[in-house]
Amino acid sequence: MRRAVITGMGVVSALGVGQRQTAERMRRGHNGIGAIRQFPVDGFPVRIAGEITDAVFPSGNPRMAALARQVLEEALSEAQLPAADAAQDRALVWAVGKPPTDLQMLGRVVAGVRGTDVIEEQMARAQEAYVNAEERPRPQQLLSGLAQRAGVGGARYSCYTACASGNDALGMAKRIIERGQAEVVIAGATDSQIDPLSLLEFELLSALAHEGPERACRPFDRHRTGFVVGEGAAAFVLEEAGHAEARGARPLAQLAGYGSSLDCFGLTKCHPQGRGAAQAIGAALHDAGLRPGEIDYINAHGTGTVLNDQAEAAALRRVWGDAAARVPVSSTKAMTGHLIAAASAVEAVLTVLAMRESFIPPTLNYSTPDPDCLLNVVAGEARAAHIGVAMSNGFGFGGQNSSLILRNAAGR
Amino acid sequence: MEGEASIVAITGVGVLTPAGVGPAALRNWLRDPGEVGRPVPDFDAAAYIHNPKVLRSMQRLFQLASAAAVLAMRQAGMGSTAELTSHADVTRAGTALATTDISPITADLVQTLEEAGGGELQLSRFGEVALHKLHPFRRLTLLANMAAAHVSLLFGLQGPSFTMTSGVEAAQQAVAESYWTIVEGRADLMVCEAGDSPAYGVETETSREAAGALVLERWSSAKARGAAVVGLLRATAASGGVVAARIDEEPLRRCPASGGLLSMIEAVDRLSGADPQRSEGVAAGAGLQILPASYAEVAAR
Repeated sequence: MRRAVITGMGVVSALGVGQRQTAERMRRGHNGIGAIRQFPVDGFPVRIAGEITDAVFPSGNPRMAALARQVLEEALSEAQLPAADAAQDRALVWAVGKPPTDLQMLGRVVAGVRGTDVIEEQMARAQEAYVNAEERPRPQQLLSGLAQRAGVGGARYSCYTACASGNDALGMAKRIIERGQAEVVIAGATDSQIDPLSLLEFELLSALAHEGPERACRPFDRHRTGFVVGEGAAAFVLEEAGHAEARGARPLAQLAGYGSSLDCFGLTKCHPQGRGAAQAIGAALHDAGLRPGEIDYINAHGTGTVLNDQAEAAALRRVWGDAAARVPVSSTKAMTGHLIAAASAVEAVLTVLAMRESFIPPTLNYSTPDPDCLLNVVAGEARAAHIGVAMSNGFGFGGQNSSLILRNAAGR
Repeated sequence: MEGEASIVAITGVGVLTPAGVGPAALRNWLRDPGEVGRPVPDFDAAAYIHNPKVLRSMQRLFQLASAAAVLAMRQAGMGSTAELTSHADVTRAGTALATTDISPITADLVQTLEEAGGGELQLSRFGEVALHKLHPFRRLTLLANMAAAHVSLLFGLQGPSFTMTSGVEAAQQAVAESYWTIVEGRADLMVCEAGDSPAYGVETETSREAAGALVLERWSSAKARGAAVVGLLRATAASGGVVAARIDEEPLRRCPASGGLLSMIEAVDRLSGADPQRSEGVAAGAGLQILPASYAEVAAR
């Protein structure tokens, strides 16, 4: 039986740049949410986000590629993967977020078309300008660059399942290794939705929190009001266990289980009783050959919206029953913001870091339990604990559900 | 993995091209694609998607992909949730979508830019106007995975789901992942769909409009319910056999999302009269081979 193990990771988010800074701040319960710096927010309806402020990355379209390169370098460095030239036994799976829209450029194009009844001409010119823009994001170019750097000569996959994308990229990578389609898979996700149009689109969905940055995102708290958009990236070097052992690589964790499902309930709202989420969790447990009671920690999707947190709590109760009130749960989104396509990949890194350093990350701003979310929420500060097996959830728009199970390389 | 367990049945195909609906129109279109930019003629999305509110929230390429899925599911005898439920466990029925980047240029965005001052754009003013002018669900209409959500809702699919965005290889990867999802026992049925439309893609000057879908089923399940199998999928290490319509050739290479699916549908159609004793199958990309429907019975003897 082939197994997928993690031999290298890279991470960047509002919590920090790189594993060391991220782990240290996560243990302290650092709040990465602050005033937006990437564009002027005076009078703008959305003013806070989980921005990366510890390093300088380009703004606009090149940002996502820069974040991806940053985390890939860290992951490759940790894995000490030998340099290769288009190795056929290496594959790539990456999730790339929806690219930002250059409103200033489009505004100039639209303003250049005058007269009455010009909407069709404006749309045609705007479309032409968008397509031909030098800086237009081209995800395939991003993938090619990552593949070249990592010596990938096998298949390259790009996937997108909204907020579940990161988990799905990792799940797909796991299957590729287990089937023997590759010995090494570079997997990850990148997203930065801190641009004016994306933030307004989330605002229009009534999904965002508006309190001051200190307490804006309050997952599972009774007075939660929404999420805060974040940005970041995560990369993993996944290897077949025997391949890693043969070259003397030290596994950080095993990617032991993965499950995916659809809510089939609505485009905007998740199933209120967590039907699809519970199914994905059950599938991941089955894939890992584990019972719910063997999970030591759950890194929840925990966005901080009223309905999502309630549905996730219901899903956990469906799977764990009364024991759902005992298994430690936290949402790290209160520290990082919601990284959308990169959320679950970054949270998988955070989960492995928590495992490696033996603590359960805190859920910031959790003070008033919600009777509809009666879980063992680890609040305030990190809790020392050995984590043998952890679960990390990612649920997305359109009813996409995904769940990962990570097993500590050091054993139980 | 050997024998029946490694074979997946294709029980439905759906295809829409500028030459019309169905495999025969696909054949004609591949022979004579005509001008770039030709739309699917007389496409009435309401004939496939009956909820007007849902229909309004769908980009044309998602409407096309969903329509192809409806055609494929109808051929498979599961054109409604009730029919699907009578034949399959919905929690073990999933969907896989192949899609491309979706252009953010919409009428409501252009109107918002105009009203907010166009060339002298102040973000505060843009924000103020946008909250009144932009469609509240704008975000959802532009997400790449939304066609998968629509197909899920059309039929009641609750199983595994993924959306591939890997350029011209996306459709073949979506079908391959669906194949493995069934063979490895995580689903009994997968609906694979993709659609292209120049009006909403990002390669507007070169894209063609088309959509395709396949219904894949566990061979034993299809056989047990007496489904009409139109083709078979099998994993293969060999790249030999007749080559499927190549996705790097016109007009398929100008269908960045659906080209791979259309090439598979063309192969299924081409093999429908093939001699299973002699057929070597058709290399379908992503490590898969398409075989005639009768191959499994011949192999089992």
